[in-house]
Amino acid sequence: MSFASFEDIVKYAVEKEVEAVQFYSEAAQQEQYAAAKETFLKFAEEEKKHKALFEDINPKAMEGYEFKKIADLKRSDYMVDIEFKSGMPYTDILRLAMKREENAKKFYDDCVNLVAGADQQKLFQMLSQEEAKHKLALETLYDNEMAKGGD
Amino acid sequence: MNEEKQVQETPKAKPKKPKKPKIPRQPMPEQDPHKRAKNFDSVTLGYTLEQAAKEAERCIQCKKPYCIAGCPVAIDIPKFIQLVKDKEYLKAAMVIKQTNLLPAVCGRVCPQEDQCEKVCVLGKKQEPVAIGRLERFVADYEAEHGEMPLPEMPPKTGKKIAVVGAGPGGLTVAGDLIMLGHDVTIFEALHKAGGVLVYGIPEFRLPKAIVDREVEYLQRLGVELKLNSVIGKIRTIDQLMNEDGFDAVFIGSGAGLPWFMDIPGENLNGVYSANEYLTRNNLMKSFDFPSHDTPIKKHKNVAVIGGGNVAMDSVRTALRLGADNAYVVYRRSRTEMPARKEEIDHADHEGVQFKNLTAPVRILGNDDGWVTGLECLEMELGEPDASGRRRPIPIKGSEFILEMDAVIIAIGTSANPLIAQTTPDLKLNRKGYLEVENETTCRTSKKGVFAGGDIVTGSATVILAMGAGRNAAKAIQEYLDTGEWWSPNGEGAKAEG
Repeated sequence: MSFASFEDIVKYAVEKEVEAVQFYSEAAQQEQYAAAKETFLKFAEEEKKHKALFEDINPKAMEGYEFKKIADLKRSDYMVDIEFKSGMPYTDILRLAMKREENAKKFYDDCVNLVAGADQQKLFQMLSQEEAKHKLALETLYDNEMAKGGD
Repeated sequence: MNEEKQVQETPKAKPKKPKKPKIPRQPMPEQDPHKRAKNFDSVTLGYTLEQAAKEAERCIQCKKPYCIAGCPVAIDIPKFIQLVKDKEYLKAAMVIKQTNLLPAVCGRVCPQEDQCEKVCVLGKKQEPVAIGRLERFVADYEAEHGEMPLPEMPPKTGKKIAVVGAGPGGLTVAGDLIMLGHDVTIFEALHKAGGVLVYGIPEFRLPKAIVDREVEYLQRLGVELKLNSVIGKIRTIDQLMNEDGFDAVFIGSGAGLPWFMDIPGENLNGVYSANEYLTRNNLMKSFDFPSHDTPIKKHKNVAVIGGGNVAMDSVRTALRLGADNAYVVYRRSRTEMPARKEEIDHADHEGVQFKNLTAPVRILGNDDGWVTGLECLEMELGEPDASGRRRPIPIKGSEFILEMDAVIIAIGTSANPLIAQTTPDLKLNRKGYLEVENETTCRTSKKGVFAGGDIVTGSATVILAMGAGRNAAKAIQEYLDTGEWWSPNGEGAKAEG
């Protein structure tokens, strides 16, 4: 992959979101339980929102983008990887999604240092922040669920 | 000014009646912490007659008693306490048993501080009446001083009800339905009835003889108990209804599937789910090996992960099995611990070491595959989020290692999927629990099938499962009378567990 231009990065980010939408949609199709299907479809919808956001991004639009500190609970950071399996429990579904957001965020964080242009760096920071928001939302759901059990 | 008028104008102050001295809440006698940490005998010893009388004296017999509403099975609390005051202990037992099949159990393990005692009027200015302790006293007195006579049984209706799971919910529904004249059969997966009461709660908190006594009482009433019968394996729900002639089924199979942390090292030898660890000890009596067949390795340094009641039960069991160091490792602060305060205090007094705001990130092992340590991170509570909750966040660079030879994971459980997998038309919510119309009717998406307790709500308390059993029994009776069902796809379906 090449991140030579701003557009290259946008194209890559959009492709990753398309892949995520596809992943969750396929998981929903394969899932045997209706409620779990709904959860996967909801995640697919969230990724579609990201896709739409990234498609519209350009250096000018970036000027209005607000950077802020997003809390990182790091719930997924110490967990082992997990693969999709039909019938997986709710907490495992969350874990799967958390891991995906964590990996995406890490990737964009690493990329900030790989590009020279200020616009490109800012774009990667923005992408990282968007993944961080998703990660926090999922980790909050997971944390709420686990806290009830005494974790 | 004449004398008479003077008297009228300045009446003599009425001498104050001396206030009746307030009786303090009677403490529960307990085994010495150092002694009890080495045995499996009951920690709390129960009230004496004198203590019970004193405690009962504290109840002010409110005209509008909030305590009844605070009890999930609505025991007539003031009435039974009045009977204790009157020294009519067996009558008091009968009052409790009208709505609670398992008073000796509930008197020991119910979180009264969050239920009946929480709303006790006395609690506004002093400590609430010790309702749970009195309930236990009455139940124990009844057990020691005479068997409850069997009630007069109603004529048989010819209806057959299957109950899946002999836990608190299943036992309650069975007890209620047998008293309505139906034939009731309980299918229990394990070799002993009681569910979490026998496999989960340790002997030192709930002697198993108490559960046995309650189960025997049900059998005397005519409830049939089929042990070693895993529904979903030996028979499906459909087979029970279509081939075996059951008119209705109640599912109360609990939430026995343990959660893990999903961190590296969880497959090492010496890592247990709390379910396994407690089942080995409580149900299989491994603490008494070789008198009983199931062994358990004696560990020296044991970490129990989690801050709930199951974690407290596990860590106190570890102490009793001879651990030199038994730790509770919990990612949040003590304030957030969901365990009952009483259980945390008991653990504390017995010598359990608490590592709060500590999150395990890796379990370490040797070349032979046995646990040698637990790598942890120190945590701090972050800023309050939108919900106001301060969540624990790792402190960078705070890694440290605790030397361990056993790690017991007690961070929660969910529903076993077996029944859902073998009954495709049973609807689940997104967390994998059985979806019911509501908590009152307990009707699932499948006609004639009811559910209640942890399989619907997720892990909760014994008394809530019993409350669900009571509601389900009423709903089953209504269904048998009318044959009416609900529309699971219409409005009113309960979505969350």
